[in-house]
Amino acid sequence: MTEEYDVEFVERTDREARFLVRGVTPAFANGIRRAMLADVPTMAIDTVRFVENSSVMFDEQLALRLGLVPLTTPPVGEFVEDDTVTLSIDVEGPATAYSGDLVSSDDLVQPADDNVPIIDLKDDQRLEAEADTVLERGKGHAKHQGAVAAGYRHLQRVEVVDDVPEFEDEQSQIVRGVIEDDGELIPTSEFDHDLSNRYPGKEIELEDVPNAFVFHVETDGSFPVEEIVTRAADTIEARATELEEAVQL
Amino acid sequence: MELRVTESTEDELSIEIAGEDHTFMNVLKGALLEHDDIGAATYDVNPEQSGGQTEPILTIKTDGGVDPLEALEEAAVDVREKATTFRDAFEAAA
Amino acid sequence: MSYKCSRCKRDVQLDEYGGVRCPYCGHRVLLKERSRDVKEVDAQ
Repeated sequence: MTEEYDVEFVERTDREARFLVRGVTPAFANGIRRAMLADVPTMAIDTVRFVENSSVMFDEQLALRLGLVPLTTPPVGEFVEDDTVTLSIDVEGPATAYSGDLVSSDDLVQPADDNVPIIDLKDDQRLEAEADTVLERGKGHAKHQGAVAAGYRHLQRVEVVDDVPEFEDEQSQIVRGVIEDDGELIPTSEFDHDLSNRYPGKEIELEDVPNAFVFHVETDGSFPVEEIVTRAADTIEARATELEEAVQL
Repeated sequence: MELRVTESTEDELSIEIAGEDHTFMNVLKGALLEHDDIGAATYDVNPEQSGGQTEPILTIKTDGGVDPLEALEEAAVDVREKATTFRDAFEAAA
Repeated sequence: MSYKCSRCKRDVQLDEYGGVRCPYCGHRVLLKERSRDVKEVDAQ
């Protein structure tokens, strides 16, 4: 059984994308979504050694904040789960310690954003710490979740049925996602999510296109969108292969 | 992935697939149900707090003298192929 | 055990005879300083 999948990008930036997949079952679409959220390992700080912390917050609070800083995740094969990279931070007040102040021992693992505030330091306050990062899955802790938003909706097909009757008021018809009109894909944001803007004076019918899903994926900067999707597919493939081998025994 | 057969007859199989959750089980179940000779396929998972069986148990019932274990193997192959074709299609578009 | 006097901000060493009192200014409020050890914390 070989299915025909067809993928088409609707919107795409480095960290956020909307793409249409045709030919997948709802079960598989959900598998991909869940795998993106929980099964793609990312780097995050796991233990912190505080050399000096004269800030107003406890070490434990700062450790939690540091843990939540998104870090870039190295390419597959460079690291395995349980490998560590050390980051250090040394900021003296009056200043704000930002994620950008973290200095990494490895170019592949860097803060994904430089402007995440960690703590505001007043005069004579100082934060000096060393942190170890680990590669883990989102299943274990949300800080290892590479996808900050991953979801899908059915692609919706629009059909103009009729004109709105002459003496009737036009009603707004709200729809979110991506619509298909004569094979053309249009994100609903283009007409303010209201079909009456795009088809004034027309009566419209909408229907879900079977097995066509529009995914919306946004990453925390650990890696580009393409990467998280392919890695999610890889985790499912790995588990299927494992099951196949386990059953053969 | 540890497998443990909990019940097995000629046309029915219950198997525990340790370490998996809905992510994989539902895809696998979906792949099983796409086969014509599968009469029924379902899985059951209990939450951690339930204190009892918390690993998913997959139950397969086949028609026409098909070995359920073989059906499971075929479904695993299907899932693998789905994942690779999806990735290839995605990479072609990306 | 090292403390810091809350009035004159000087470091104070306490012994078992002196009682709680700053030997420099006589102030009775002393603040305990954070240990200089490196502290390891899990980010959980």
